[in-house]
Amino acid sequence: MTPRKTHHPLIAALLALLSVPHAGAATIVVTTHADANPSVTDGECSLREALANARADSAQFPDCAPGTGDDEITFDESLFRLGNLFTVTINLVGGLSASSTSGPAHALAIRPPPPVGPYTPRVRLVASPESPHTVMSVRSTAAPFTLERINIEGGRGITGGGINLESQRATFDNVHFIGNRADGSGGGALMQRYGAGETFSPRPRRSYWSGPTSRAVAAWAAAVVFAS
Amino acid sequence: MSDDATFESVHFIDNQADSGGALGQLYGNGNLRISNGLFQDNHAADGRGGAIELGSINPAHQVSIFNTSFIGNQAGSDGGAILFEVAEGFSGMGTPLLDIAYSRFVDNSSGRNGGGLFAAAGFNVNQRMQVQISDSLFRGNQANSGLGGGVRVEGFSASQAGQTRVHIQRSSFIDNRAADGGGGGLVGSNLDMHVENSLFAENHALVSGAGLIHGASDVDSPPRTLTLIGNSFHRQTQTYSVPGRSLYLLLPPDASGWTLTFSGNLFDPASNSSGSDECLIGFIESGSTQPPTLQGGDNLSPEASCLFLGATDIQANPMVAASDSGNALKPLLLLPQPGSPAIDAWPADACTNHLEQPLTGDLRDAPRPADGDASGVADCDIGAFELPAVIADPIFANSFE
Repeated sequence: MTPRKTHHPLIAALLALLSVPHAGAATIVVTTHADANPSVTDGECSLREALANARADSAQFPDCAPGTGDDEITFDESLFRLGNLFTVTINLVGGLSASSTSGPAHALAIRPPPPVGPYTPRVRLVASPESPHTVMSVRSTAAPFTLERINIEGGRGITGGGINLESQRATFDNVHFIGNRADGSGGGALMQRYGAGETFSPRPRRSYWSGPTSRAVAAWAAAVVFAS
Repeated sequence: MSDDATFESVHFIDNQADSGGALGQLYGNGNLRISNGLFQDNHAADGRGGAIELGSINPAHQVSIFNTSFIGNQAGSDGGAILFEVAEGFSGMGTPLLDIAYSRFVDNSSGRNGGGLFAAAGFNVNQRMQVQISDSLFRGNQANSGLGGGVRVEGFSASQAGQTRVHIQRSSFIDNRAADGGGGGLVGSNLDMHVENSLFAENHALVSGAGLIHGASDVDSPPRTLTLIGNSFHRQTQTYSVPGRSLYLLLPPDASGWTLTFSGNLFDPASNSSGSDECLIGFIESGSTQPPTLQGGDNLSPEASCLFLGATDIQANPMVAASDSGNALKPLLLLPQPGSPAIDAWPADACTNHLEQPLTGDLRDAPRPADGDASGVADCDIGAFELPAVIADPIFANSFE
């Protein structure tokens, strides 16, 4: 199959209206709900391959259009049918990675095609129950990062069971985080950490003013009552 | 570089972590906006922030939560739904902000403080923060130990006036519980607090302050301000019969710099609450004490302990009745009944906010003042609810019978 940057003229027109154009922006169209890691060249563009091309700013995987700086990843409208209630499920075999930890920042958006009439396309990203993993790591060079109408389900990680967010400009629109878990500390669904050079460590238990507790009941009698 | 994250119409359901059951953010120093969201049944099993943990917050961080529901989240420690904590190494001139509007906190629970929300800037004198809550509901939340079934906000004991501020408007605190401590509805310590047009109803505490606690934790506390304007307190309960069911205010021995304003508040105690004072202003230590400045007036209570302003207050049965409103954010009404001494008893010129600007609405945003007694003069009703103006019957107005 030939890599496609856009699929349907109507979709392309809508996207053009809805998106702010960026110099060098590419639209990469995912054409399959299958996931394989490592990826296979089979003529179908998987989400994992699309993310890799966006990260590499090239056609690292020939099944997908190349990434070219600012990128938008969308999904072929043929994947969304009344039979699946316009919801595509991608059963992941491992964690996804968006952008990279170094280099220039580029915009990255991941969203299904726009709603058509009463139908709103949605994509479920479901972590593998066999080998627990974070659903997606969004690296610092994904800025701004946009995720829209995506479910993040069943992820599991040390922090950020669903998404581990390193981007410092991120927008989540109509995203559902369901049943994710962080086994370490922080962010069952999503974890975001800022700050240069900060070392993450589990937060200690703080002590605060205990105020009136059961043990202090007797002490209240000793309090001096103010009367006007 | 900005540190911004935006969540629009995002749902977090049944997620789990040690801290920040759904969403964790550390070292925030930008803008976090959550609107039209849902956080339901998330768990911080062994830590803080059943739904959201915002930890080690830096000076520029501004958090906005709008039209979002927090339902059934649980934290093993502080903050059943939200934990908001300023960084211990805080430095800089900015003031972190937590702004909550039109949001619901229902049936969340914490192992320690703040069944719904716990916010803290309580580690050192450099820290500061501002918490704003408006048009929101805290209902059925529970702190299993510690303080603040609904909300607890904590400043540092030696921080100066204005460093940590809480501002609450048009919000309802209903049926929250501090199961093993005080402060069923709201607790604010070591900070300046303003509460206006809000309802505290049927909250429960083991000991004092089933409705509201404000005070100092240290005998050397600098001056603070507390402003309570146009609030209603309805039937708080406590396990132990100790003073301060509706209000418990705790001052340092030298409170001469403190200013406490009570204006237009209504107290409707539970019928079986006799035996201890409904309201209490106490000092941390006995001995030589200096009283605070008290100001305001036009408060209404059947019990004298809640009337701090002497002759300018009214001791009488408030004659109010609770009813369901059908509004998800403001579900409980506590309206004056015919003949209630609350009706038009708060003169319009005194019916002002903490900035001495006229109040223009009640908890529901119903216009106030309104001529509720058909006297021809529009004054405010005491409490958080304003009855609409009554149109005088022109026949009776002309003494024609």
